[in-house]
Amino acid sequence: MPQGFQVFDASGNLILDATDAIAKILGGGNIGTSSTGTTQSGSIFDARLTQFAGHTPFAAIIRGDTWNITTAPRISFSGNSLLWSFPHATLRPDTSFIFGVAG
Amino acid sequence: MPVGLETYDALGKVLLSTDVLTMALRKTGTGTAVASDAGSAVPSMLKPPIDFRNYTWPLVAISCASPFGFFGLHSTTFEPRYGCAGAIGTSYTYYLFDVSTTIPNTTFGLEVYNSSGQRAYSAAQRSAKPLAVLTDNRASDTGAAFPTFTATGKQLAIAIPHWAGWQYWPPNGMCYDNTPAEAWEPGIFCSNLQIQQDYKMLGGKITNGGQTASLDKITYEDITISTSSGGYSSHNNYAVPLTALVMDVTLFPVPATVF
Repeated sequence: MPQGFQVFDASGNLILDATDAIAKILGGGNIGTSSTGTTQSGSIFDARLTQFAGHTPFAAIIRGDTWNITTAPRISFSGNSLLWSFPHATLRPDTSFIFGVAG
Repeated sequence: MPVGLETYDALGKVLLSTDVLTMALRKTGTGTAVASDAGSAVPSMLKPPIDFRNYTWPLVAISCASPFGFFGLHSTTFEPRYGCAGAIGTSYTYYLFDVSTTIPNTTFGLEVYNSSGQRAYSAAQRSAKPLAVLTDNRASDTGAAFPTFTATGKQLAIAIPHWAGWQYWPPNGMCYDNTPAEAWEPGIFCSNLQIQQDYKMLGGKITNGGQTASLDKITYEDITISTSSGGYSSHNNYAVPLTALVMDVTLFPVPATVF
């Protein structure tokens, strides 16, 4: 390569190149009755959500029983903010998530 | 970034940065779909044997030719469950990533740490490399094509990281007061009214020899309710959009416990 960054495994396979995309993890959050009480919605500010050009924010559930569409938390992004909400004011299952950007 | 390391491609896109953590491959394996224990119409379920309590920030990607969607974590085993449109016995391969802070130190090669002393990257790790992010936000079964992504020569898996789907009650139904049944609309009396609920999960699948990732729907609970027109009240409709990551898992060993 004329310039850049490459990583090889012990067998000589290229496993990471400067042109690759890589998942970048920014942090995590805990929401629900045990963590955020009676609050039905909120946000997390992180300037890194828009720091990296060409990246798309994402969130992944890592704790919580989120199977019910009528109670599962909704997570979205707007600029530098992660927005979370529960569809019901009184049903707020405890949920943990991570978030980051992909690109 | 005032201090630290960043690497860029020729277009200025950041690959590594000491401002963020990365994801390292921890475990891979294969499995087959088992009987579903949720959703009256879900044909099967994928239950990769991954106890989320044993990992810090786990992220799972799966390669399966049948559409599958994240259902949630089992309440006692803390293993992820995925509703699957395929038959019991459908095979799949899973890839578990965890945050780069959780893997051992290496004896050689590059390691990158952030200002808090956390390992942001290690050359010893197989990183989670998302080649595409696929999204869908339909609120009912519109019939529109689902997004798809192809990477020729690659082996792909798709991370469905959260529950997504829709529950939609149509305003119309079928009236069985007469034979044959007739289409019913609000305002018309019917004593034997049937309404078909449209309840789907959103998920993904991997086809084309592992080279194509697509989003798709999984029938979840398309129940029919029987009532009278006087007893049919409007229901709330729900929709949760999906954001899925298409991962490059080319040359990843299977099965393996990497760290």
